[in-house]
Amino acid sequence: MGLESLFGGEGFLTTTVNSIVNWGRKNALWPMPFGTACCAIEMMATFSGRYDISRFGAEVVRFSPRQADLLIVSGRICIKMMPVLQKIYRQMPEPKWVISMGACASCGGVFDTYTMIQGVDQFMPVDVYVPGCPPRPESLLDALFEIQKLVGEERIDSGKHGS
Amino acid sequence: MSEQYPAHADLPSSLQELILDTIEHRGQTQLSCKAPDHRSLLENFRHQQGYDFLVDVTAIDYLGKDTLERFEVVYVLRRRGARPDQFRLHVWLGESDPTLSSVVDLWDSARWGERETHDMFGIVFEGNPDLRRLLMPEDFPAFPLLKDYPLTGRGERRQFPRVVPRGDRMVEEEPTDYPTSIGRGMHTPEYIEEVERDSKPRE
Repeated sequence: MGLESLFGGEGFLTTTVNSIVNWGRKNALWPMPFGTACCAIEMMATFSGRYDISRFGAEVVRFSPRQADLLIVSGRICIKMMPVLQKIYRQMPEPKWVISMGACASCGGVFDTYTMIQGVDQFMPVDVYVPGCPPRPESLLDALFEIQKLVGEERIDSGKHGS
Repeated sequence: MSEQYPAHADLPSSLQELILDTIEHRGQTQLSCKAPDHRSLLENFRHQQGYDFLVDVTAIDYLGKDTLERFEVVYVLRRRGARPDQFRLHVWLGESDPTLSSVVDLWDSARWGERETHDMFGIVFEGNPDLRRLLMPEDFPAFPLLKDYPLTGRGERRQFPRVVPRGDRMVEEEPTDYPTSIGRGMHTPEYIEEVERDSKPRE
């Protein structure tokens, strides 16, 4: 027996629509993995049993951007891939958040060459950056918590980016 | 292998004369010849000597080096069976007209090798039926493995529109703070400044 025994019968809660929507959103983020390099291996480890991102409600990995609200860009993005990434980002329904995972996605990393995008944030919005090469799964979990904080600050009447 | 069955021992003397140089190094044989002569040599290797496998086609850029010509196109040939052998044929190719006849009719595997060499060095293989870019985007304006191409490119990596939030939707915007898009604004002062900045190592 747990909490429900204290309410008895048909209990009720008082809250605001904003709080309860944000509470639902931040505990059920659906990530869209965009893994192109070694960071994707760490991302997969984060999704799997040992680190278990499902403890924080973000385990429903969607391979269709139309069903996801959290884009995890993990790995190098080259100039041939950037239009694809932008298209996938634009296909995601609002509200949506982006994690730029690892040095390559955030700033090009060691690959300061003609094919490499020097940070995806030059061409699309990024909410949280994860340092590391590659970051450990704990870092990605920490980024998820940062995203959850951002989700908690949303106002449902104004949309994610204000209107 | 090559010590036992030297690659060019069976060449007729008329073709022997075309070979400028033979280098043996650690059991590997390297022959070199001039550009238009490679065709008759390769035909002989394919049909008379049974080199049935073209391992790779690639090139070397000797910019600034004291060599016969600027480019060397490298064919790696292999023969299997009773007299196995592998060697390289290096073909000197001038900078003013970097054009070679294709060997797709001799080895099918030349298709992608020649495409990649074209993509990276700008060498044109006449007769290749599908000489599109292989690795770089189709509208890429340069040939990145040339020695005079800067490592960080000439601003091609900044060509994209930005996806930015506007109200409740995302729109694509052309950036205004730097020149964008291949083929546009390539010779403006801003573009040249961009190239110089991109060509320097980061601090």
